[in-house]
Amino acid sequence: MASDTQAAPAPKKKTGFVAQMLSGHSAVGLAVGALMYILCLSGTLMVFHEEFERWEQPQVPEFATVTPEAAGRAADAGLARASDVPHHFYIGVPTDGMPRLGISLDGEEGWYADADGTLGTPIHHPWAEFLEGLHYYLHLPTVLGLTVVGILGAMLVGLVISGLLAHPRIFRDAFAMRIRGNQQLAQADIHNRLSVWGAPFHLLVALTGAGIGLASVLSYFVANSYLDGDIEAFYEPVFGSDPAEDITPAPVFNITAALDNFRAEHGDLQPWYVIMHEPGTVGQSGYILARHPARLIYGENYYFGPDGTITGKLGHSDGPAGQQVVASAYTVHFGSFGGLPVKLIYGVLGLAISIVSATGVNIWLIKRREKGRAMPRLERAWAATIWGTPLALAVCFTLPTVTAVEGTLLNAIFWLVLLGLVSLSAVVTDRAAFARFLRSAAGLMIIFGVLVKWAAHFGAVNSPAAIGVNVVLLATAAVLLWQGWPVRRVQKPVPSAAE
Amino acid sequence: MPQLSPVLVLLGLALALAGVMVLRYTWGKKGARSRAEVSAGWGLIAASFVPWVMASTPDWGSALAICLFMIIGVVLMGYAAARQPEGRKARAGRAERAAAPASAVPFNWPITGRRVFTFLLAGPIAGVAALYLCLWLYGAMGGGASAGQLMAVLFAFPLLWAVLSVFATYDMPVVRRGGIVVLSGVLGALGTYFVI
Repeated sequence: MASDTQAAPAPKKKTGFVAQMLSGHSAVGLAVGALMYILCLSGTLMVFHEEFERWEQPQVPEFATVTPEAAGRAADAGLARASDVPHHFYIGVPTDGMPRLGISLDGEEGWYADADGTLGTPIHHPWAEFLEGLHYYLHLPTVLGLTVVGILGAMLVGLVISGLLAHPRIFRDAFAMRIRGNQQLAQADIHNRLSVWGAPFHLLVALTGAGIGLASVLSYFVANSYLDGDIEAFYEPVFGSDPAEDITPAPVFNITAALDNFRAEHGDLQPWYVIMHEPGTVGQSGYILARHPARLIYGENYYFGPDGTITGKLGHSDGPAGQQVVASAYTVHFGSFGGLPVKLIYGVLGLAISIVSATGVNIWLIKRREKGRAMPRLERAWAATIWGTPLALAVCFTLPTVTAVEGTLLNAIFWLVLLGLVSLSAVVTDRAAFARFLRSAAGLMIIFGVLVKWAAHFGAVNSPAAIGVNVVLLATAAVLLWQGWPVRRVQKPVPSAAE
Repeated sequence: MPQLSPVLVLLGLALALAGVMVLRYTWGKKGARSRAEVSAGWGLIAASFVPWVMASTPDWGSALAICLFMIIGVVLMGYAAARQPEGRKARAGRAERAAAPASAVPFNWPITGRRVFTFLLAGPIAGVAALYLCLWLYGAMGGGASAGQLMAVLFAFPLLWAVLSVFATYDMPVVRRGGIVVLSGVLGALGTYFVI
């Protein structure tokens, strides 16, 4: 039936709109390529942030639940260690993803506790903090870093839009995959197929990331235009606000009773954190942040009074649609809404978007080569960025175990290693061999890091997640070593920068 | 992860898989493709959302359905790559061209200037324009502060910036693309001025 079909468009030279859109897509992709790749790769790792924290301190006792009395004891012991009234005091209650009881003073100093609420090991995960600093801020000062990351998120949104518009056959070709033979075709197929199947993920992750990153700038200008400069008023409809400060001493709210009452009233919900503002003062306030099963919101705040009575909630779970959507941005961005299965899916899709970032620049480099306008230095520098990033990351997760390096110094080492490798790429002559060397080095460094970690905690591992992370790391190292093995027969007639 | 009805989960999985397979069948055909088949494929994928939503909630269920749809596509793509036969090698001419040293190109001021302008247009200028449009949107949505206003500008800001950056890098005369971006910003600024 003629009306029921449409003719397949014959392949033809890109003209007009498509060519113009493709030009814009390439320009933006090249401008942000390296940072985008680093953000995508670190974001993929950030999905497993909780697992990395458990891997870093595998000796910490883990348990699925804790009694309100034990949580209360841990809170009392934590507050007793505070030299001053903490602005915010956190009690992390065991959850599926983080089955540990932890206490934190202003998010800076903290301890894990056992199932009885006795404080033990100080909370210390320099690798997870490094990773968070890299993905949230690119290790820049807070607001500047967030804004730069937010801008990159906005550019990624633009790349998704222009990429889809620039490839009118992208859906029709969604199952075509020619990874052998011509290298440009292979890179283009990988780039386009992963882009089309991951498009909803790419768009949502980019938009939520950009929204989170650009919120500081936006709030400043909105507040100064409409809210008399009150930035808190901008966020208040979604996140609420802290009560007025009054540091006159007063008895600390009854955390044990609050958890008891919460369980009696909301047995179907999972408490995640008890958060107190200025505890032990007249101006104190407290709430239980609870996860709602089968919801995208990161949680709901349940406020409690001095005697632990639950007095109300903020409204993330049933407030205005805008509030619910904004409260879902974080979980949608990091895939923390469906346990390990969703994290694994996010891991695969995150790796896919990292490959899309890498192959996008590869395609441009190969096209230039084939037009006789090769840029060998840039190709080597790009190879150093693609394979140097995993190597630099591997160095940074190994160092805190063998040395006392952490914080700003660890951040600096990551960028120095990457800068060193990019500089080294200027003097090497064989790009393919250099890329293989970097892959092998990254694989060996990961194995070294796992062995060091294993040796440091031999016989004292309480976390199954730590074992899982080690297995995944070793598998990753095996793939890198296989890809980097110098004597393996390689059939690639026109190798790319990141073959 | 909450307990979900296995029947509904399997139904959602089956519908998504069937939808993707129908698309694979119709897009894989040579020559004409059937609109009815394409619609059926997308229809099955859309229908796969229903069991997930029934098993949980609209927001969470939809998110899982999207994740599942994407992962099915990626797996099928991997399968297609794995069973692909060895392809043709690149033409010798290409390889020779690839090996050819890059010819020295003299520095071109107009081209460099246009590139710098494009960068500024897609970056800071498009950003300021998007910001003004968002300020206008925030004010136009009513006085005070509300969750709806926050949500709207939080996502509109990067989205508008992205769209304007696409225009800024679009391959058309500099004056036209510059005009689109700058005029958007002027429109936003005027709108904000009158709303305030």
